[in-house]
Amino acid sequence: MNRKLLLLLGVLIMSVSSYAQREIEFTEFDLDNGLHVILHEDHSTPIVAVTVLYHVGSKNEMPGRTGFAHFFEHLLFEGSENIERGEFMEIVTSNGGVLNANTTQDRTFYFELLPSNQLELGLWLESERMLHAKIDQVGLETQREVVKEEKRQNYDNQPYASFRGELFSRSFTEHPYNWIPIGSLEDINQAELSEFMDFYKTFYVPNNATLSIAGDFDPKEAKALITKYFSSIPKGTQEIPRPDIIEPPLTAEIVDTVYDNIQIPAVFMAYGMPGQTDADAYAMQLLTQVLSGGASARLQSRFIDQEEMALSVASFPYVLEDAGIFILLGLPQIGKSLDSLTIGLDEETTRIKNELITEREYEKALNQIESSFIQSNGSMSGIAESLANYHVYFGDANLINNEIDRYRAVTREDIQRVAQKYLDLDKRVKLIYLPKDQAQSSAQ
Amino acid sequence: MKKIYGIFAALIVFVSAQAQELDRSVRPTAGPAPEINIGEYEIIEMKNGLKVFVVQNDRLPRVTFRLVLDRDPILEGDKSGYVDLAGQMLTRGTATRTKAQLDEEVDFLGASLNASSSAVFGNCLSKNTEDFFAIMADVVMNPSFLEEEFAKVKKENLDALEFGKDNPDAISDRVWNRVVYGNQHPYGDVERAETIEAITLDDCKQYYQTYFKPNISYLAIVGDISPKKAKKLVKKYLADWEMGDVPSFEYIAPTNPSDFRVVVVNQDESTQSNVKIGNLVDLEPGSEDAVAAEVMNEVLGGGFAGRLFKNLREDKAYTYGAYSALSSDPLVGEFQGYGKVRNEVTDSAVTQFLFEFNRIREGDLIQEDLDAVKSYMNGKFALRLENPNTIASFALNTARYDLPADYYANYLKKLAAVDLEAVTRVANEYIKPEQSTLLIVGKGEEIMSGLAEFGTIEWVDIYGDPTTEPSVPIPAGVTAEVVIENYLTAIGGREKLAEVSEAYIKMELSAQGMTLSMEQKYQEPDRMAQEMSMGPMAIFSMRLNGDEAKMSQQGQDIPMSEEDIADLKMEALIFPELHYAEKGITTELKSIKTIDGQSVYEMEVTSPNGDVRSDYFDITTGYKVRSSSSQEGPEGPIVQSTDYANYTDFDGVMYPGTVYIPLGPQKMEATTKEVNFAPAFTDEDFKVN
Repeated sequence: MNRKLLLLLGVLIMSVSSYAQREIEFTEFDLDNGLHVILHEDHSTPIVAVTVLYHVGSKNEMPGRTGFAHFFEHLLFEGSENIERGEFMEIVTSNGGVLNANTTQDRTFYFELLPSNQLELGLWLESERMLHAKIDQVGLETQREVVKEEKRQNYDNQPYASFRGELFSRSFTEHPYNWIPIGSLEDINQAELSEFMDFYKTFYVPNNATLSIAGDFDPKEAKALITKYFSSIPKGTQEIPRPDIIEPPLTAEIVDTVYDNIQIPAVFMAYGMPGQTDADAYAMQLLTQVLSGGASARLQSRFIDQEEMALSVASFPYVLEDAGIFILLGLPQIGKSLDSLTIGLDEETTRIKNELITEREYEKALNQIESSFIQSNGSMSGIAESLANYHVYFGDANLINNEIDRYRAVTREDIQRVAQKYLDLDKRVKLIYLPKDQAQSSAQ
Repeated sequence: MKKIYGIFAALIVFVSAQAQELDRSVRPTAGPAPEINIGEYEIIEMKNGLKVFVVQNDRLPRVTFRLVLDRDPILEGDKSGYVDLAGQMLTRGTATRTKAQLDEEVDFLGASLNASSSAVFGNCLSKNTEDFFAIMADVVMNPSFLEEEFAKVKKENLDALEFGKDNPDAISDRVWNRVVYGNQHPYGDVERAETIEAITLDDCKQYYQTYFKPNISYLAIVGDISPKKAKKLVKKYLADWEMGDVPSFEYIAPTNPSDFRVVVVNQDESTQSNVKIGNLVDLEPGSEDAVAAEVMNEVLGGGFAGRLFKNLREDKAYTYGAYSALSSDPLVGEFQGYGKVRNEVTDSAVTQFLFEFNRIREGDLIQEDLDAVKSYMNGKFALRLENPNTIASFALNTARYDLPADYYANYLKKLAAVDLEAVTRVANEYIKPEQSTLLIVGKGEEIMSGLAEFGTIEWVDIYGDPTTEPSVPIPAGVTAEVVIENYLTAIGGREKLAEVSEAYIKMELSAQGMTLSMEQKYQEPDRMAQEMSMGPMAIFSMRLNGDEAKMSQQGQDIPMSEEDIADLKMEALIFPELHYAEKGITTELKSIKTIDGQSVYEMEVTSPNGDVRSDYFDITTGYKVRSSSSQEGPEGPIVQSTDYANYTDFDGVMYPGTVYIPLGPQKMEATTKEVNFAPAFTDEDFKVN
């Protein structure tokens, strides 16, 4: 065998093995109280991500109390039986860590990223939060105002930012996806302390939580510490209520106008689609890549580059646990017609329903998905969160390694099929965003 | 027996459970601190002067590339935006790839590629490294600069400007730069439609040809790639990139204002005020104070543990977050506190920002809190190292700012050495509350009265250019007649005032160490006398007696025409507002404004001869607080205002105890000494000659 060939073989073997070693390894177990634990060991940096996912989000709220789950997330930084008000954040930061939390329609997620010698501290903090969080009236009223400022900052005072809420409220009339996690200011004003304590007892129980840890630690030690801090937390006694409402599909097109503090009009469209675990959701994700994944995708290249009609066009599936919506949006260039752009977007929607995408487009979409799939595992906090999400929603944390196969299983024909199945121009929500001053002129 | 054993066993379990029961009030202590290793990087210097940093890290099968030009900032002035546009042109096609081809090739690799005026950057999976780098190098070396693409880029930028018009963050950032750095410094350049319209394709080409040179560039390559392979790649694709002389620039550093500045951009739709408050600093990267300054900023407003966050959010609930930033820069750095607060607490929030600025300057930090912050920063430093791009940015900063090679390796040691004294010192050195600029983007009408306590508001538009104060709509039902009636009621009531037909008023004013006295006499309907004197010396006198009048200044008579006399007659009224109808004076309520923090009605008053003046009435008290008229000056109209304050009870009538009289651009303060509504005048008092 000649030397060159040997070298080539070596390169080949190396590339195969380097792929193999990138598998994300993890262990899982349940405590007796139902707490699910996932551990991923990685010693490349001396840090550890401690995360807890509670399977509760805005879809578990009652009408009239929208924004409750997210408001409650704020309150869970207020302290515990052993942590004074205001200390929670300080304990983390003064020990060299960072922390935060976020709330979606389906879950509430807390995390600390700490130097690896502070794993025990992170576990203690999260167990305190789970066992006996303490909230007083002062904290409640303070966070009430803070949450209202968050809403003003991220929604009310941001041009176009209301579109999510506006689309969901029209796409879901039965299911609690009707509202988005930030909720309404009126409801935030109503929420009372006693209600929060009920919410805590119902949802913040170990059997509704997943503790996911990634980073520089010894799994054996970690397991002992987890047992130490979490095993005495009692299992929840109540059944955890989850909405079992199946949203009926739209029967007609809903068209509305929203007047916003903007200069350039826009169109936002939403089509109903299944939840994230459904095989069709993967096909819809690939379809999105074909439509608007990058500057060479169909929408961008036609409406921005070739026809110079649009300032911005995009499509994306907003997929949740129970269901999702597929969003298409466009902003015309100044002096260009919003109607023509809307018609154009419909033409592209119809085209992807009528014609099979090309082999090249299919391959490109898969390449893009593979790339972002790999990049998403770049940090310990990202890995811990993905593991928890995959476990809770899919019942299979190992999707962190092989979810890509589900995309690969989608065929070009599948993409056409889901386009035909879900993208019905006559059964969707269409919102026209217009500048506020046009509201006055049209009223006159 | 079995049973006893069972009980025994149960007891043991019980006892051991007791023994093991966790005392949750005890906070876990940390194990030994892990060793923090800054990753290694390799430097490769190419023949054409390009410096390459390679950080090998194979945790993920991807590679990130970042090419950065190290050039002096450019003052763009009336072509602001051209440097950006030039950068955007790079990814709009090359000599051998159209834009569409370029986009398709990058997308097909699942990669990303972006360019700005002084950087080209992107990433790809490591299996595509060479394919990707070939495209990136093509973009760096052979951009095509086609007229057709330039037209599109220009349009996109004009549209983007329009798109961001209502975005409070975009407005705040832009206006801050303009207001703080001014228009003679590159950091103060502001893009607007006119400046973008003025840019030509040649401007962009010229920029590219002048500045895109390997000898001022750094290329950071991070990820799943060996230095050897990286070197090979760069050699293969960038060796032909030619060196060139690049011009350098120097600018006069902008300075802080001598007094606290209050600048407001009015946005009628705002539900929050976007607040920025701070000053420029002379703080270079890597300088002696840099680490202590970082610690100080962290204490004040670095994050969830910062004082601003704790005070404005966790204590007062004014905001979702309040922070501060202290940036070092080779030209001029800045210190800034910032946050978004609801309209009604805007002024209170500013007070708290200033309170925190001053508190840390006074040196109230204690050792325990300093240790906590240092521990946080120590931890954050370690957390950042998780991302291999951090090491590349260390390498880049070390080279660009000429830092010692071990600057980052020693960072934690320097951090450990920062003491309380250093924090207080740098707080005083870099936070200048009295020479700060306060910029607010918010709803003017709701916030302006509260802001007046911080200084006179400079109203600017969304580009930072001066504009007029926003007017507030007048409530329904409020007319000029209503405002006048309120005023008359406030000063004594229409009935009582109507009884007054004579008045003697004496005022005193001091100017330049001299005391002037001023006497006014009124006998309605048509007699009036005014005299101003300094000691025994008469400076000015005026008398009106029916149809006769006389005016003299320092003994010299001033000739008067019929019209002058007619005008004087109009003024021979003690309370002119009682007589508007009979004198043919018309009034119109214009708007609500703010004077010294108080909301006032602005009323336009027009005399039959066409003279127009504006009177301002305090909304709360009803008093007239200002009367303004505008006169033609050499540089356009000049507004002269007389202000009335300290309304005092004289004989049952509220009369201004203090009057501010305009004297050129200054104002003289006059104090009312005497007001007498039964003075017993004789004919002598009004005699002309």
